[in-house]
Amino acid sequence: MTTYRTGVTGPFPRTEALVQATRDLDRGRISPEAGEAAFVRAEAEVAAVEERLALDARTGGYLRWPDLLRPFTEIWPEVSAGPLTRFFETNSFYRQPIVRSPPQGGRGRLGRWLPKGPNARAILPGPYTFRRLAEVSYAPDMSNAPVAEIAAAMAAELLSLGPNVPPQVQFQEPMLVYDPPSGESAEVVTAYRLLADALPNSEKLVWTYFGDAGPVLRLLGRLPVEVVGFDLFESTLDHAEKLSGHGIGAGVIDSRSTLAEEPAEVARLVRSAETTLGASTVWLGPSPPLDLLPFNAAVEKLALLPALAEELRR
Amino acid sequence: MTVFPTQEIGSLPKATPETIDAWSARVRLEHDTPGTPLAERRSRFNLALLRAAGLDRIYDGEAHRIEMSEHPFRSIRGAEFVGHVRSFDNKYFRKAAVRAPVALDHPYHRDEFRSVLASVGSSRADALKVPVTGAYTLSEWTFNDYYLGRQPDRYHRAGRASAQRELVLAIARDVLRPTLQDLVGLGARLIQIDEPALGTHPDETALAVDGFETAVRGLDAEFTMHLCYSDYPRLLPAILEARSCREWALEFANRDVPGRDAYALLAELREYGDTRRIGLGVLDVHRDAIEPVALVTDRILRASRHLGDPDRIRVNPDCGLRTRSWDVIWAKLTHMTQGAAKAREQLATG
Repeated sequence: MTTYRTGVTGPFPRTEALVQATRDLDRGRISPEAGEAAFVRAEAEVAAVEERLALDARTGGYLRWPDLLRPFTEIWPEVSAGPLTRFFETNSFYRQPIVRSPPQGGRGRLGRWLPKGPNARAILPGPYTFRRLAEVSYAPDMSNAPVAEIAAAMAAELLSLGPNVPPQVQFQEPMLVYDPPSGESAEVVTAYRLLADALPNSEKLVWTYFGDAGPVLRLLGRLPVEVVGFDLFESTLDHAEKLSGHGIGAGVIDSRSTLAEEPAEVARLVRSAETTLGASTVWLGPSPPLDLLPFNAAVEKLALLPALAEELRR
Repeated sequence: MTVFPTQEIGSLPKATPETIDAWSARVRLEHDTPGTPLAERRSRFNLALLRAAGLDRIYDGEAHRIEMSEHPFRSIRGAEFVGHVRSFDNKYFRKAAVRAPVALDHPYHRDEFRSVLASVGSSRADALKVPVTGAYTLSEWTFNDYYLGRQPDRYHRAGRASAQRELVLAIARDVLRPTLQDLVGLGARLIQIDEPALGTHPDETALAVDGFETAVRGLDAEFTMHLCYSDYPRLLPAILEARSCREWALEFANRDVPGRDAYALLAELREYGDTRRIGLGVLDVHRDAIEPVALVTDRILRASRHLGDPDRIRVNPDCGLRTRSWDVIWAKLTHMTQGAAKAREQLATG
């Protein structure tokens, strides 16, 4: 019997009110206190959406994150924010981390960026994606050697959270499918062993998007995590082998379009994927993250999740 | 013709009346009469500022426009606005969704161009470079509901690609081309097609080129293409098939950091045998730090060496300066024109 669970897999878009407030804040038209109040209201709005849709993972929306990598860019002194750089094939940009020496981590400053609560899901950049999106000035070219160093620093940050580690920790790894590592990918497996050791009591998810997960499913299956997620509409699973005990994350909301998905048609694709991969747990969520949409469109599209879960449970 | 001519590249901030008043003497603003609509005042102010900073090719900083995709979509039938999407930090753009076949309601740069032409005088029409958003970018920055919804295979990549192709070519043919024909008819001679989204899907470069050619081929004007924040080598060689393009205006300064020569890319273009002009980005438009004159000069001369032909270089900011303050804009632009002058001197003296 397959278990279906639902949750958001990345940042929410900012509400229209928060868009206006942050613009006003930047232009000095409102006070920092008024700006903070706008964030609090928007976070409450996101929490209400997650509650109303009875999602099994609660994220709070990650509305304060400037980009996927920024918390680490800001809290690690070995890293600084570099040039504005396009985020994969989107019209969004991030400050490229410039990593001057191996980050040490463990300074206990990650907690303020993460949601809290019994169903909270931390959503962090995966170490492979972080390394590939960063400029690592001490490593030659695009060597993957720093992947484990970055993972070790992330693990130290997570350990420093102590009992406040969220029960679910999701690592965003779009680069694993956009430009997969070559060869045995030992650095990636090692990196996730370090992270798994730091998270003995959390459900760990690796989520991919912006590409076809089919060619890297074997690698994903070697990672010591409970769930591997992928974009259902981008991935070719025809020749995939069964995973060994992993649950799957099915990206079932296409955040590149405001056109609503049809539950029956998407359910057919999900059933096909779970059968092919032999999964008994399926997380349903957006892929790529919802922040490619305006807030209202995102909320409308999220309604698919409970409807789809119900369709699948029949 | 002078080597290293300077040019603007895109939008400027929306000046307040107080800003215009405070700066009018410094930029030698003329004909700023009471009662003039604010958009018109902004347009004249921007033109005056760019001239006073010493730029050779100018426009009005898109003073009449809201934003580069929102402005056209206000004149495109078949689309409606659905909300804001974040670009970076606290910067957003208002995004439309296409819900019916696209068609042009009215040429959306007509009034603006007439106004600018009237400000500078028809004898200076050759100094105007009109920035116009390209078909691929308009398509990419839009939710393509109509054409996607018609695809029998919408849940797979092939269906999405077909829908994208339909939309790009429909915009190029039915929206952009009549807009450009109108501009050319009004006297526009130099038109910059802005395609910042081209880098978002390098595997669709050929489609973007088809959109460009569909929109501009055979029209009696000089067309350039502006690209930015993209992995340029991934666009090569497909982008070079845009045969109607006479100049590549590219962002470089943002990525030109110590130990990494961003302008080395030009050597790659040289290897492809491409002989078109380069609009050389020498100012990082997303940081307040003012590029020293010597750095601008160094960037121009470095680029000249990589390209092997200084005559093909025009000097510009990386992109529009709309997110900077007026003090920063003025300092950056004057350093750019001074840096270009120094580069000319150094080139002449060997």
